[in-house]
Amino acid sequence: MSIRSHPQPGTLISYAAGTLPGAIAGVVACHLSVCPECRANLRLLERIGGLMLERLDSPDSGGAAEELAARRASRLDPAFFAADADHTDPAPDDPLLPAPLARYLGMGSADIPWKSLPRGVKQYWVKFPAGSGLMRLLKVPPHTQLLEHSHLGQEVTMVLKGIYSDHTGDYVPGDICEMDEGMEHEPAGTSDEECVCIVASEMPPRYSKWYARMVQPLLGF
Amino acid sequence: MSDGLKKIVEDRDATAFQSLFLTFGPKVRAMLMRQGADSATADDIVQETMLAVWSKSHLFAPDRGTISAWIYAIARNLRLDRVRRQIVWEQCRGELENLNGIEDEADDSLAREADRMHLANALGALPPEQYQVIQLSFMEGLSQTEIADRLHVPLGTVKSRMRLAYDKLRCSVEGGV
Repeated sequence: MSIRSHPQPGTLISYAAGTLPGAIAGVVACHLSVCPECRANLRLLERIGGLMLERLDSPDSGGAAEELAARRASRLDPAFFAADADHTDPAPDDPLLPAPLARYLGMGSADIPWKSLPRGVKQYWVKFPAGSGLMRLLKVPPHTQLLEHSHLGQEVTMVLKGIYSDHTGDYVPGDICEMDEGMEHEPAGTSDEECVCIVASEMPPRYSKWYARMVQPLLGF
Repeated sequence: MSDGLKKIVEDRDATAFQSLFLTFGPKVRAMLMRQGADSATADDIVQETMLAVWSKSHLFAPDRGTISAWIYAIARNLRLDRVRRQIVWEQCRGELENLNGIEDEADDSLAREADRMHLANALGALPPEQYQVIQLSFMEGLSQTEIADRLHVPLGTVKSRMRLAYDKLRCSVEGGV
């Protein structure tokens, strides 16, 4: 099945500008790794960034820039071509995890220490530095409803396996489902196979049912 | 490939590098200062960005973007790491670029220059309120929520202005060549 749902324009623009929280940027990076169309659009947006940079007025540095440029240029090693350090460490080829996430986790999907939640749902919180937002992997049994919740900030989900559905539609592997602040949904895995997805958000979800909110801190979902 | 970059890659010409540094260094510095970097960090990032241009110039693919876009992306990633202390997912970009998929249509320099003009014109022709949200994002480094706060408009308004701008910019290169 091909990708039908992409990040919102504002989300891709924020990614290109480097303003997304790390966890949300991670889900966008995972989508980019499987979506040539969005990669082309990202390149276009970086060209916009470049054009704006070209147009930027820079204050006269009083000769400081000239001096810095000359000093830097005089110390250049003509033979110095960096091997592209970014390419030297190929991401593990995982049947489930997109390359950026597999590389970040440093483990394959078979080694994920899942924690069990009610209804047979399994979850794994991906660790991030403070201020990066939150990311978790969710594994949902076939035809299983997740708890209804709303959002205190942006939430971006990417489907890795199965079908993920809510009132906004059905999402297949590679698809992105975005929820804005204040939006409420009750997603479900709706395929005959289990559904696995990555969910990143600025803030923890707010569950609509009081009993879910009571046990949330105890079970850590 | 621009003549300056060609000299840098093929001739390892330090004068060409110096001239590129003088064109972009102060602009990158001005951008970083707007985005909240302190003066010492901004200087470090400028140096490192330009050094990356020198040492990785052979990896620059003109059919994948412009020199200014490349410099922008290098500086953005360094800022993400040093100033915002966020993970730089773009490190995986190199391998993404090598995947099969849609690549830029423009495969010669004339077509690329025309393409560049279309994009620059479309950017210049955006209604002021759409240009503003793009500018605040790329040059000031503000998130959508921060832009909404700055402009005293709802978040949804920022998102819809971005969507409108994005559609126009994309159309300019898809339909304009």
